[in-house]
Amino acid sequence: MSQCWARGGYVPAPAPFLRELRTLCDRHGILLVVDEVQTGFGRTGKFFAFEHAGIVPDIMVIAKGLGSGMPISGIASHADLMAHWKAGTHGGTYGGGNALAAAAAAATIDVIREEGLVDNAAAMGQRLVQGLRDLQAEYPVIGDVRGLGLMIGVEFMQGGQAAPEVAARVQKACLQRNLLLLTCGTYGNVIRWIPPLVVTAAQIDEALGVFNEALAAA
Amino acid sequence: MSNPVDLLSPVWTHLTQVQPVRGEGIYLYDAEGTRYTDFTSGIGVTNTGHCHPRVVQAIQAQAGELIFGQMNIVVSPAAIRLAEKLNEVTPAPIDRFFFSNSGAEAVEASVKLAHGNPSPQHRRISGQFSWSHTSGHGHDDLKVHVPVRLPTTARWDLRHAVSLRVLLWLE
Repeated sequence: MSQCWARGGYVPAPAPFLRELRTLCDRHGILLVVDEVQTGFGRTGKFFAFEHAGIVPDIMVIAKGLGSGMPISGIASHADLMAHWKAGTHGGTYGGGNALAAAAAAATIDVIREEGLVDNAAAMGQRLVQGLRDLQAEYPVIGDVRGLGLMIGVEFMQGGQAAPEVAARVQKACLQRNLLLLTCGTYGNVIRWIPPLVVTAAQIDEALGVFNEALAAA
Repeated sequence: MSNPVDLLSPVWTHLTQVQPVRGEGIYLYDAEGTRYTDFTSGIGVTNTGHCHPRVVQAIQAQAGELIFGQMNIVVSPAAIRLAEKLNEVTPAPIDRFFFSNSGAEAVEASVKLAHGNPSPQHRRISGQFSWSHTSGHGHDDLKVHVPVRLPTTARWDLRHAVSLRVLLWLE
């Protein structure tokens, strides 16, 4: 399961829900598979998003931030479960064999740990959310501001309805000012903020300034 | 054909027409030196920023030693080193790692591992469902669909249903 539903508009799964899900899975002998593809490697202000709920999955799925751009992904599980995976029943030509991708991933983990990027993601995420909430007070078209760490969604609403056209105009105004931002959400009305975890306070503030200009222009 | 960009398949959407030639931290630069602030991280990929010097150095050093060590032919030392690193950042009891190339492949691997698990306390979901994966539609995440064709002959109890819902709540 996905712990911060990206496609749906950056909707984090509540920690009590995840804990209860873990309990239910344990009670009924169900494996809990968590998707850490986008949420992993510091993105949410924890190394992995499931740490927010204090649970441990049976299988975790990793990709994206793992390789800093090199194509590498994987799954992690415990020895007992992996022991049941019969040798030769799964694999691929490149998986595990691409030494450049593996070296990049190992260096990525070192960088995240030694440069404190998980803590930086948490701190910069707080700063970004605060800045966005300040803008929300000025621009009623901003609905919800939500997310975890540096995985933040800004929802656009008008008259109680999703306003994807406003999100698109604001996004375009940002692009015209050389600030690249994506949208997401079931209704396409959410602008998502996923800067690199090395982002500084000054860079967050500068981007918020551009966003403010874009909101005024759109 | 006048514009070589037209050689690229039209299946890709492009947020911008920017052609970056260099990346550094949160910034991308085109050939004219125009700077773009990348708050997409290439859809959540460049967590360490573009071209982090230590990542670049690791790739350059590895490229001079060994680029490819196919896993079914040899045991890749680079993969072992990565597994050691991952073992340090994942919680107990997680201590086994399988590698692939994309999010879609990793989700497929997770479904196959869960599906093939014969442990009596973890009942098999079903021997009869099928899945496929596709990457996303360009503008969105590399997302994975795990459509399940429900076998008409199988008996489905609540346990099966919950298992499938958990698996299906993937991006």
